[in-house]
Amino acid sequence: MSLAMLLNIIFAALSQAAVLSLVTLGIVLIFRTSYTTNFAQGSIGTLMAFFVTMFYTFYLSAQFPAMRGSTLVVIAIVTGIILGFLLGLFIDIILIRQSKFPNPLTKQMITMGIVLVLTGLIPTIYADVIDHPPTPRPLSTEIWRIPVSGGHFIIPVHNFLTIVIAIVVISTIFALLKYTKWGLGVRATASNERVASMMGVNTRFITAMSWGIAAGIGSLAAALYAPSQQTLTIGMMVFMQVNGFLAAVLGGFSTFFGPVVGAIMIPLLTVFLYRVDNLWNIALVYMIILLIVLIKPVGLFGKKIAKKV
Amino acid sequence: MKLENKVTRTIFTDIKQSSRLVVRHPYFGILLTGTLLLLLQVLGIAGVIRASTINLLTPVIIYYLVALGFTFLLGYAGLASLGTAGFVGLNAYVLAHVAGNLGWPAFTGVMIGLAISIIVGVVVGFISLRIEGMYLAIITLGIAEILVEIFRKFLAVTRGNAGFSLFRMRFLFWEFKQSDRFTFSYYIIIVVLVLVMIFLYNLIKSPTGRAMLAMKNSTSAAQAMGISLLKFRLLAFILATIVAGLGGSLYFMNKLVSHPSTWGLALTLNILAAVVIGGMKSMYGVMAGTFIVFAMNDLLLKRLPFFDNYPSAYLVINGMLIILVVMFYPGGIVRLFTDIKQLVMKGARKLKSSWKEYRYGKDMDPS
Repeated sequence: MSLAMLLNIIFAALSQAAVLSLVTLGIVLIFRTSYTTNFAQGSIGTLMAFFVTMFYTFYLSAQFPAMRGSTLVVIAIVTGIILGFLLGLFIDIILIRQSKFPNPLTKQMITMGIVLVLTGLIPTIYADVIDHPPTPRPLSTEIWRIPVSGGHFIIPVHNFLTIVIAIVVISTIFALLKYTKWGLGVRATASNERVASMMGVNTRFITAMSWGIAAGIGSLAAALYAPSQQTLTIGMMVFMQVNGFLAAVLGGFSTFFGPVVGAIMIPLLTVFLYRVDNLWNIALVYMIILLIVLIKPVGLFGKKIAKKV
Repeated sequence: MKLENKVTRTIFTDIKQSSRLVVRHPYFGILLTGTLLLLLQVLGIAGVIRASTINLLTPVIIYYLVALGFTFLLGYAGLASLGTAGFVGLNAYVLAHVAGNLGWPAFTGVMIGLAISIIVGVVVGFISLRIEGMYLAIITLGIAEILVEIFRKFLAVTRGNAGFSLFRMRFLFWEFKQSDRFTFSYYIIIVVLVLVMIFLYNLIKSPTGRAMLAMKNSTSAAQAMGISLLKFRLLAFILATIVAGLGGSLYFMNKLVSHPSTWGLALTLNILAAVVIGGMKSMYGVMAGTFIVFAMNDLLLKRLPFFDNYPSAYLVINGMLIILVVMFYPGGIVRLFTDIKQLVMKGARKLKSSWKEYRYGKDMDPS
């Protein structure tokens, strides 16, 4: 294998890892603050990816033809993130908090219901374009080619920007978790919700904000992922959703950085195992994850939490 | 004259009492369901019901069977599994492979499938001893994803994404063809369904079922009472995978087609939704839930022009139903029925008393 090929493979895996780690971080944020696995993380993202593309193609580029495409895409994505944030707040404040007996299972069911609603809603809203949706526009259409031994190291600028944005967003969220009052509240809620609320932490605000932020970064992830797939489909985030769960289990739900490391590991493992066996690489990756989790049920970086009866 | 009257009266009350006993018997509902479902196909052959309707309903009945097994796992043993669809698909492909590729009798295929189900149940059961709750759900999801990968890529056995399709298959004394409008397999499905329902009903009322309920509510307390987690978790998973596997075999027997995309995460989530909407602890509730999730669109909603124009819109209804039921009726739709019944009874009593008041005047009795 030449150096160029190796670099290209690793780069492709990293740009997938960037999206996956955003999705995973959203799942973990919700798991830590409301103790439920959010099945809707991918679906919310899909809805917003559709919105971003439609908003750009049918409204922004028609209304403001003088402006540069990239600027308009950024505007569309920011709008999508804000809408995703509001959707997340809506789910927590209107649906989950109003339910009669909120427990992890009912919350999980509510997110499942949201998956169904969104899967039905997207083709209904965009009924006239669903068969041939417009191609999502990347942040930049440029492609860099760097000559290395054995060919070219090809970097689509959009994928490069995806990685940069993911790094910036994830570092920002880690900084927020570490240094702000919200972050302290999240950590307190995560360790014990009841005690946190007794100590004066506004757990409702913390949970709502976590839902909003998680849905927001989910929307960002999908909006960045769609152009690299070059097409929009309703099931485009299912793979990311499943892998996000597995990454979170692999890294351990009890920390925030563990799942992100898991999310970076899965695509890299997949491409390296592709060299071993190009047919069964995904199945092999899942098997490895299952084995690791069987040996260490709390995940690679997880800490065992002692529980009293 | 007087005596005769008395005799007829006692006979009449006897019949009334014994019929009440029969209706109250738990098997009555199950057998009634079975008979009504059998009648559907008979009516279909007689030309009253369209064949397409029955072909739509058959998979729904199979999904109901699978949902029953899942109810047992989730509602009684309290173990969350997201691998259901994968386990169903596994047996469909085992039967397809044995009957289609190897050319062995289909009955052996079903038996091999059951053996594999037991092995899968044991494996998952052992995993469930180490990993619990949401983690278990995600791990079983991973197992199901591996199975779907195998369905997609093990071309020699499963024929990949194009799907496995057989034109004809012999099962014991019957020959099933894909071109048949009504197949005998429908009756086999109903018989298996009735047997599984009776079995599960008895199991739930038995000490085993009680032990599982105890395990669901608190593993530590159950262990303190001498309930072996290993034994009952393994048993719960084995039963659930066996029922799921039976569903898979029956599905292939009926359709003679199996596609990898049928057995994805969506089916698992839909079965979960059916169980939750219907009510986790009632067989009839699950039946209502299965109907709402799987059949309502094709049988009822499609008649409305809006749902005909937007074929995906029914998912919105399903999703909203799940959310509403979970938010306000955690016991499921069954609770809604009992609540409505209570409301009607209350209203009827009130109406009766007000009618009496009107007819006979206000009750002056101070007591």
